[in-house]
Amino acid sequence: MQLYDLTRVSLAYPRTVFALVAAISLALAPGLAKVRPAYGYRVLIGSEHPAIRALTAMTDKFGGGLPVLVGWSCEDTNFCHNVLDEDSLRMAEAITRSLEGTAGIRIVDGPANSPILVPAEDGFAVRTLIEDGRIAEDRAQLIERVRGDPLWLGRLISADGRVAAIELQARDIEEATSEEIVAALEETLAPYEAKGVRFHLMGDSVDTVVGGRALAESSAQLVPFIVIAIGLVLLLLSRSWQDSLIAVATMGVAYLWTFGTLGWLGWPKDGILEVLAPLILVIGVCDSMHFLSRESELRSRERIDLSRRDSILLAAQSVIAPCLLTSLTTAAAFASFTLSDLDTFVRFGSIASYAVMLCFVLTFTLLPILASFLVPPPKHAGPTRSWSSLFKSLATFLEQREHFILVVSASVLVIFGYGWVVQLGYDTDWLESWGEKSTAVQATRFFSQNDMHSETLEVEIDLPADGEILQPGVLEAIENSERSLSSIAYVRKVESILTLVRRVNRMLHGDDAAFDHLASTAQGNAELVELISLSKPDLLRTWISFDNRSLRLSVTVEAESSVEDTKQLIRSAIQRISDSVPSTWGLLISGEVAIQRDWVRDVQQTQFRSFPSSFVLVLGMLIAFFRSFALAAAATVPTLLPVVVTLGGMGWIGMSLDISRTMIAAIVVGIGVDHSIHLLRNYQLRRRAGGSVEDAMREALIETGRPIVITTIALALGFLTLLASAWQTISSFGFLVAASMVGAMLTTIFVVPALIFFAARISKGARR
Amino acid sequence: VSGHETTERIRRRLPLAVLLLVAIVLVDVVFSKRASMPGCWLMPNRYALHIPFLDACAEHAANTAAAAPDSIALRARDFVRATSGAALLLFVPLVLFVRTTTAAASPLLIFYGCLATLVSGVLGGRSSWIASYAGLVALCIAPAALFHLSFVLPKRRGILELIPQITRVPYLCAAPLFVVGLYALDSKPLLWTPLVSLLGAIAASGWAILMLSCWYAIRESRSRFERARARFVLCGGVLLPVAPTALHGVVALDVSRVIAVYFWSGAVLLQLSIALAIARHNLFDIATDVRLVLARGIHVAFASAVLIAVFGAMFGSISFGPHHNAEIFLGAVAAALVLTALQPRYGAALESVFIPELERLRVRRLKFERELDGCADAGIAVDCALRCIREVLDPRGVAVLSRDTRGFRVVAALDAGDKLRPDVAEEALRALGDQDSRSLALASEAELDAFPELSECDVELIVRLRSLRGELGLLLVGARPNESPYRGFEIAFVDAIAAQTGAVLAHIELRQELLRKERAATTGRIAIGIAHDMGKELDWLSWLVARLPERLDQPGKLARDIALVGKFTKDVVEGLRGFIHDALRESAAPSPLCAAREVIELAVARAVRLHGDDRIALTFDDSIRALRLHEDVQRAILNLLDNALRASPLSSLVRLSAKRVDDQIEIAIEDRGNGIPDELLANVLEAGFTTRAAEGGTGVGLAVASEIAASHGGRVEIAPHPRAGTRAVISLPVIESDPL
Repeated sequence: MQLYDLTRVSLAYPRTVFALVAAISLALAPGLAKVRPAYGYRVLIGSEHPAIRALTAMTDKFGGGLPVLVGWSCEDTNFCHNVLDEDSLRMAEAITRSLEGTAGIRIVDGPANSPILVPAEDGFAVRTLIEDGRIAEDRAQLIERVRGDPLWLGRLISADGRVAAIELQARDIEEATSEEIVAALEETLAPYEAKGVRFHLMGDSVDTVVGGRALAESSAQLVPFIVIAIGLVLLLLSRSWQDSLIAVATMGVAYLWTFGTLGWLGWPKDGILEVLAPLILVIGVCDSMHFLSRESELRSRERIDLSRRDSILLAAQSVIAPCLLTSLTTAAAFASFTLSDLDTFVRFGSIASYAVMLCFVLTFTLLPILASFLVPPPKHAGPTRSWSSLFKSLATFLEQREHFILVVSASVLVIFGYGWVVQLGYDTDWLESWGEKSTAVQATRFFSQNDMHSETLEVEIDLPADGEILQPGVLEAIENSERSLSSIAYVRKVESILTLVRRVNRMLHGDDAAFDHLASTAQGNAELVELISLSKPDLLRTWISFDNRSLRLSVTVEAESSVEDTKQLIRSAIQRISDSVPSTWGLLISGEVAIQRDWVRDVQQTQFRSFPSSFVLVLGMLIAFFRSFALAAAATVPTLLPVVVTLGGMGWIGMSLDISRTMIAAIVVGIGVDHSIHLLRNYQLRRRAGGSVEDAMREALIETGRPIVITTIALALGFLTLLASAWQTISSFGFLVAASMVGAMLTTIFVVPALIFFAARISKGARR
Repeated sequence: VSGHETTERIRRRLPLAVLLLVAIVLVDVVFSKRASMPGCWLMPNRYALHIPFLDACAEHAANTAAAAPDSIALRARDFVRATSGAALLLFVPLVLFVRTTTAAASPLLIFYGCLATLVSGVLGGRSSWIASYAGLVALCIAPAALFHLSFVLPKRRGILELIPQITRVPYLCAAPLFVVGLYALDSKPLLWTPLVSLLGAIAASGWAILMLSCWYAIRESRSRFERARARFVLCGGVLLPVAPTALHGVVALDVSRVIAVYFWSGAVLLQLSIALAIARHNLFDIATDVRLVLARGIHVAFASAVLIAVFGAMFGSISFGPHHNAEIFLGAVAAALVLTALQPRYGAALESVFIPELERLRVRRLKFERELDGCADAGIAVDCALRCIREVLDPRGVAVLSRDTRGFRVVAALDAGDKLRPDVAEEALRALGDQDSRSLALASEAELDAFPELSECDVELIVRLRSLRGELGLLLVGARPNESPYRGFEIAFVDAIAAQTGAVLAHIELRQELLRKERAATTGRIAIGIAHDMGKELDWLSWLVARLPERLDQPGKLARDIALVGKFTKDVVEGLRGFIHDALRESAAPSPLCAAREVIELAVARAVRLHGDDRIALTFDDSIRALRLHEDVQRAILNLLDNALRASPLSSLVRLSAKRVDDQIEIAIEDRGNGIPDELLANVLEAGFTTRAAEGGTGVGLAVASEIAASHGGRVEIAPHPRAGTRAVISLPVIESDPL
């Protein structure tokens, strides 16, 4: 049983194969309809991830921690003159009412309905700008008051009063909830947008949906571009539109099967899986290129006229083994992502490796049948004289300059290796990922410019079983924590139950700023909390638990801080709170900022796991295939060098590894090795046939050089189509992988032969 | 053919395309608003291209809200700055493109066009979309141009012969990067940094490949020209940027910025070394060129200083303030005039001080001229030339080969061994082409492969030996033992020696030719002389013989006539003998000396005898008593007397006077004939010229007289007589009688 029997049997029973392909396609096609895009951390990280569970628990307990801001200003519209004028307040009230009915939203707090604490004869009163559907008569005084109210400033209104916002608290971070919130917002805001008001939405729930939608739309538009690019390259290679068409059609079947399977598995199409379609088309077609190129070459070279079927069989016999190996190595590289702790990588690794193997199988079953039905394209000169001359000259050059090439390669490896190990950072800057044209990014910039932020680090402090927040010393300890947190870099403000308590205390003393602090005794503080509870119980709900044993601190962080800054911030926060509260108190960190930290950490770990494991897997396969450690090691050079150069280069220019770019290393390992497999396989066969090292390598270069170059062009162009993706991070991924592919090609045709010549020379020297 | 045509068409339009790219940015500087500070090109994606040491640019890029001041004056200043930058960068590449046919000119122009675009944009400090696209094109193409350059420098790669279109590959590769750039400029600014870094890395790789190619060429190339060119490019590319980098490094010790300055200045200065490498004649004698420039600079400075001092003194001030424009103008004009006048006299002397080799060559050349002075032998002249060249250049060998109908043959050789064969000369002739001289040190490796015999013989210089009359042969000069190539002035020296030798050889040949013609003329003259001199006596003889029957009855007269017939017959025989004797004597010893008076009287007697009358009045001065004359002068006097007697009326006398004037003896013959017209005076001494052709005149008498006088260091002068007739004077150097 030989490998190429796969093709032989397919050609022998074409109807059966067609029937089988049709049946599988029909079975999987409904799965396509089930493929749904999904966004948000919960999808990316997985609902069982500790960070997600912590956040879910906290939002359940306090109802807050997942804020979404809906901001507007009256500067560019005739609808209102001031964000707190009557029209604007009426609009805010209508939006608030509309959103309050949305299941995915726990709390809606806006200028129309947010409480304003004011001094009153019996202590203090809770007022709103719209009361019982009417604008408060003393609106002007109330507006004056909210401009100094810490419960409003930076959250509902900007310090200069130019921007107002409605704050929503999402029920959870489920993707469906986010979708529901966005849909509700779109529906509610549409009439006012029609009147010229421009709203800015900020918050994780909204951002992920907006960013995800843009990505899904652009990815859907990418596929035709990729098909055209690959079709053109195939046309260039085969000079036959029929061959190009059947190769693309075969990849279409692979695409159908892959996404059908995805749908049946019920896996969401998240941000990373958006690159799956381009990957299948680009990587899958490589085997077709080698196969068709070889077939065309055989027909051109053989003196007797081969039938199409015979040439197909001969070509399959020639290339199926290296193609299997290249598919296996690529699949292994993708499979290495399954070692990640992040759900999205696990799903991506599994389905991508499955897709690669599907492409291989279809290339050597369906494609030959389709090709056999077509009239063979006219013979052409095979590898043209120019290509032969080029690679012959190259081989001569490499024989003369092997030392130089190896020294340069080693230097590059050292310089860029340093950049990778020392300089490369791990970060996920979503604003950068989405790009400046994203509405989510524009909203973030809008709020940042007005000193309004929604990214929070949520801190839950749990008292011991016998503890209670109104016990003496508890609020004081919390106040100490608050104070120490406020001085940490990138912290905009810290809010907790104490913000309310201080405000109430001040109101009780006739709005005297001197009393803007806690009561002097524990009893006094307890009374203040009791007063708030009696006046407006909802006010306390987001800060302390029902059993009064847990309380929440919300640390608002600058939206444009980097992950490294955030990591430092979290470390400092934990340290300072631990220093301020008794050791018996529990401490739980959550919120968007904490999730992002965990996300980045896991992305980093994914890279740490996927790259070495894929490298080891690939090396193992190569050793088994070549049955020579030396050749296997030489074959891995074209993967190692581009990876090191790309990642080291990223380190040197300050570009970090994020969700997309973390896949570069494994993918380049998987795909980059393909060229050297074809080259070294050809070389090995020629050596076994008795050729000298130099002759074998020269002939191998002449024979495989052209398909290697053209495959690289196809791969690079295919990956470059990702430039059109809505997410910058995916565009950068496409660009860097394309560059790495070119690097892998250059390494294959320059460094691998030089390495072989060098090794041969050393071995000759040793023998002598 | 179509590929070549396309390439040629592209090449023709290249300057236009390059200038268009630069013009886009320059127009933008004029018409768009100032977006940032000069030296800072703010891209639409908020990234900035800037000159390496402008820190404020990064801050400016971060704070895009900062308004930049703008006015017409500022725009004009920015435009001038940007245009100057572009002109500075484009001047040398454009000159090379227009003036040379080198393959490196095109990529060099493309690279510097791109660089000029970027520099103009940076200096202009504008930020419009169209200019940004032009900048992006420049950014993407510049690295490709460097790769293109590395295909043709330091030598044209062999692969170009097989696949000429391969030079287009780098530009094709730039196309997808341009697309990436479009995204990076607009919606994906995240891509900008990696893209620019990648382009920078590609450019650095192109530069490194160029430098390494030069390194390998220096080590491995057989062509000294390629080695020299590689050395230039390598030294220029690596060392030239060191100076600005070091200067900057002193100011700011920031490694990354120092590297940036190195590469920026390297890119800007690379054109100089490449231009010098392309301009072949500079390759081996740049040191001499520098010294020459230094010498001329000092010359100019000195002369200018003198003139300024003179004009300062004239105008009462040597300080050139704002009111001394006239002084400056006059000074400049005068300086130009004086420098032009002084240059030949003092410029060369000053140059010799700075370049002693030139003086040594000059002295040796003068010596060579002296050696050749009066040289009448071609072999000696060639030997002199070879010795001179060997002495100055110290080559491995030097030889002259001449060509005749059977091919080349070695005329003379020094130290050339037995390698020189005629086929070497054939190869040399091919190598020479239509040039007059060629240094094979300037041949590429491919050309050396085409001339294996020349390479084997170590021939370095080939010079064509030429005279006015045509090609004489070839001068081949071997390489130096230490392989150091001949410098420009040394090649010029050999050219001069060859030219001088050619002239001398031509002169010698001409003299030999003249001698041959002289011999032929002498033979002709004998015949004419016989016809002239003997003719009269034979006439007399014939007349006497015809009258003899009449004398039969007059025995006295018969006896006298028979005696006369015998005498005339004897005279004819003697005359013939004399002519033969004279003809032989011209190539042998001079005619014997006789007393001057005797010679003159003999001539008079013969004239009387010839004409049968006695109309000659003879006057001797005492001063000639002790003087002597060559015997053949008698013929000259006779010829002049014959002419005078024929020209004079029978009634008038012909006067002959002889006297000493200083160290000359003057024999004057005056007649009273019609004289000779002025316009014919200049021609009367030419052989064959006569005014008596109808009377049987041969036009030889005066010419023979003149030649005889000239052969004794004298001359014949024919002039109109002051009163009437003609006065002919034979002037001869005085020969005193032996006192003994």
